[in-house]
Amino acid sequence: MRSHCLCLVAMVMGCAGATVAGHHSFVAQFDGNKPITLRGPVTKVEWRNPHIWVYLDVRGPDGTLTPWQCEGGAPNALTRQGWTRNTFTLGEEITVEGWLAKDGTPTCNAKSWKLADGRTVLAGSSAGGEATPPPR
Amino acid sequence: MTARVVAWPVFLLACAAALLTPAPVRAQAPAAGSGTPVPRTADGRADLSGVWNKRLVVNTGAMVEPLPFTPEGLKAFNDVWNHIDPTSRCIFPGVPRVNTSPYPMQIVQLPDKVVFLYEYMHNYRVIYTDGRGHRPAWEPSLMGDSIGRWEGDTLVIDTVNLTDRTWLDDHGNRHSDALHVIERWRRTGASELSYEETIDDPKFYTRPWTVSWTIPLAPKEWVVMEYACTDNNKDLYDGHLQNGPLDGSLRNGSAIGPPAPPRR
Repeated sequence: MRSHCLCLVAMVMGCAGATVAGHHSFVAQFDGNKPITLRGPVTKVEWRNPHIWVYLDVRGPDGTLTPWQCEGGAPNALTRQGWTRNTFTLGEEITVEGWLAKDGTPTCNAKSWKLADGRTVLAGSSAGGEATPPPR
Repeated sequence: MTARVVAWPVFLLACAAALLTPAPVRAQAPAAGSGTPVPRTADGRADLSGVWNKRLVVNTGAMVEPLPFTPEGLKAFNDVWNHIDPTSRCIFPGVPRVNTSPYPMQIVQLPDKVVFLYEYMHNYRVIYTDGRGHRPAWEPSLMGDSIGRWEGDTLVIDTVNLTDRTWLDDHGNRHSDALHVIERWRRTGASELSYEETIDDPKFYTRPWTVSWTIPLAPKEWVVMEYACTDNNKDLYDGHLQNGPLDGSLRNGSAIGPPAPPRR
């Protein structure tokens, strides 16, 4: 029961973040029917307004390497929750679940971020999703 | 895969439910305060100073539906589908929309003025309470021309000379260049502000309408941070913007008359 309540809170927080953060429309840029899971090393973190962007290199089944960019939540809100750009270590492999951009470019809107050790990090994605407690 | 596909509509529903829930109107939820004494300045006035954790208020008009539209106002409301939200382009939210954004603000109260420092868009307002009047000859602007006065412990801000280039809220409630806004700010306890806005716009509404909500004090460690809308805003140039409110479905049931179909 408790976990259900937390989940609802997370969703509400998430959509508040979605509305707030950049005043852009998720549906204009991303396809909620096209979920995607990406895994690869972090190459760059942009902890800047109005949304954070995390870049990672993803190796495809044929071995080719594709640089991806994934949009996250509002940096000020994330900072207040205790997250920082150093939540990610450059070169560390992470797993991102999110939704594909409509324009066909290797761009995603992140729903959840997982570090190599399995910890889920960050909350308040620009599209909502799984909010997690900040590290204390 | 299936779980994610299912989760998305559920999430949207949760969002819609959360965002459609209006902030309490004054009649339903009188500002009770926190039960703690209102801090006061040296001259005995209620002190609004502090960092306040503003709440997102998506649809201010929902608190007074149906809105008393004039024909021109209704036309503008339904025509929102032909406009991109101005804040998407980093245009200032303007008065009064700046008070609906969920980023914190700091109030600094001085004997002859009250300064509002909004994190969102790095906006500021200097509200003089020294008895001066509105400026007679300035061009209309996004934040308009505001003057303040104290009515007991309530700071009353009167704003005129606004453009029609801003919206009233995320929902795309509209106003004309005849907009006159009256804000009433009152500290109801150590940790709560009461906020009320009156929308007086005879071009778009047949009578003034008033909405209100409360704003909690932010946690002690909070300060106002940088919010530079254009810093890394990839939406400005990648064609990611669309017409209408952020979530068009929020308009369902709230328009008077059939809303124009969204143009994508």
